[in-house]
Amino acid sequence: MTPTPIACADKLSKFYGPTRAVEDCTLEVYPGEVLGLLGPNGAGKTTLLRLWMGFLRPSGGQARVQGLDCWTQRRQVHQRLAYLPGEVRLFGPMTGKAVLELLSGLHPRGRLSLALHLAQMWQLDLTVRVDRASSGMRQKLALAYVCSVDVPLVLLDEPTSSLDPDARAEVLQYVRHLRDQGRAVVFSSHVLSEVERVSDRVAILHQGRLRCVETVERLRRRRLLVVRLQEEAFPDRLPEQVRLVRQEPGCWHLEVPQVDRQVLNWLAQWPVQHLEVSSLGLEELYHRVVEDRKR
Amino acid sequence: MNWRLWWYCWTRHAGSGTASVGVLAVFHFLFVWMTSLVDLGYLGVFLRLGIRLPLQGILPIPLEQVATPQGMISLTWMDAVVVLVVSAWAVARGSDVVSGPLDRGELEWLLALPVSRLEYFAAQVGTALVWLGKLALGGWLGTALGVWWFEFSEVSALALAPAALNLWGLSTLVYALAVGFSAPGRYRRRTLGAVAAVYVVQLILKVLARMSPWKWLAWTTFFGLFEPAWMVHQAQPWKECAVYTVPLVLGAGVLLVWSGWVFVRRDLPAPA
Repeated sequence: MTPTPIACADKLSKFYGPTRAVEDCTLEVYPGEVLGLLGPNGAGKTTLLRLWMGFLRPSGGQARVQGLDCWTQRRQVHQRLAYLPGEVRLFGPMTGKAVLELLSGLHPRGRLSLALHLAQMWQLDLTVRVDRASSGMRQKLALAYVCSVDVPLVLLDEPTSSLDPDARAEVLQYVRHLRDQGRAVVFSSHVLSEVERVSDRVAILHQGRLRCVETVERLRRRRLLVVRLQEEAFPDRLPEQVRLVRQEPGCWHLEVPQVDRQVLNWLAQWPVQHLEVSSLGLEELYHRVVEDRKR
Repeated sequence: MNWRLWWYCWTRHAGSGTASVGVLAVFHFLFVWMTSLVDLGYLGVFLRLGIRLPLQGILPIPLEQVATPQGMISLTWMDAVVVLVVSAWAVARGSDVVSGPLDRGELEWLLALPVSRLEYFAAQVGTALVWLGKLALGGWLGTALGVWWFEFSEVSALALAPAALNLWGLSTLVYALAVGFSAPGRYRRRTLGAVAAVYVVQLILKVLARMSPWKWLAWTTFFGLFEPAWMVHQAQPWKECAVYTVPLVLGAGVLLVWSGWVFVRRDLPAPA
């Protein structure tokens, strides 16, 4: 049985005049998964998250959370999600503790004790005013609140951008903990290794369009074959599961979902001199998607 | 109703609001004290000799009335300090309804909560209107205390209450104007610039209407409805207060409803 998505974008678009920030995006997020959202600057990641938040009115299509329309039923939607914005500024003149008290108090599912516990775990000084705290401290403070709210969906827009390596590791660990609790997390980031580490699926946006959605497990199984030939040869037809990534004189770069008998039998037809097999990885996929579109 | 949200908005106004109430109360008290030091009889001598002062045209009430304690004290309500403090507070808070917190990145935190935009808007505006009332009340209490302290038996503090109400009407309209520019805006500095420009133009029109032969200019400025000193000397001050203040409040109401409508429907971009 197909699980019911907790959030979905259905042919979702957002235009600013001639600029197409998000175009025709269809995507689903399921409970108990971390969806990594990738894309270069201006790809539309933040716009997509803000459409789910109901901050922006869609130009076309619909964003929904648990079946509720994110624009017309914002208030009900916000009872079901927590959101970390890309640039965390919070409330300048307030202390960290006052911010946690305010936000946890205003959200019916806010849990102040957990927020304070997370702040302590992440070594935050809650007596410092927000406008005197470093950007990393502000981000940790915001994360302490967002992660403490008892909601089924958490939207994180570049949650580790200002954090040191230790804090990043702790946050990633907590994101996995949220997933293990059955919550859905949308994790937008530029750091490919982080996304690969924490996500169950990745979605790559480029120029406002959703270019690729792939599970990390399948991604890990995908292989890149570099095949060097004794003579120049050109395959007139490739097997269904084989994709030609690049072709140079006497050398093919092929992508396969896995190296199986069928692939090896096909390769055996050719005068192969040298064969390299490597994992495709998210980085390769990301660059391929982005570079392909640039070309 | 989300009382925590109302309390948050209330406390956001509290610092500058309390300071402004204090300034207005003290200023009104000091003005009464200064009036007690002036021998108004000398002014009466000028008037009897038929000497006209050069700035008479700009005064809201005839010089004969200025020569009385009640007339002199009523001028406080049009003093530049009072109008400036009240207007500055109204513009500062009005610009901080949408474009201010949006600019600072606070609004997205509040609106990410299960709080409707209308609820947030109502809490901001509702608490600010009460604080504007406190500002006018602070001024009136300062006057009342001064009148009692300096034993002005011929002055009635209650008779000056319509002036306080008229000041509240003006501050409400200025606040609504700032909210009107803030609701569709993204940057607070632009909101402040736009409101300041409108305010200055309206003020110039008021001065022109009073000093020039073009009296009809008073109809082109909301300051035309701000006559607190004049109304307390009329036969029916409360009626005049209603005639002048109700349009100010209605205008503010229209602007606020429009602003709320815009705010509920607008996009909220990420802070720049």
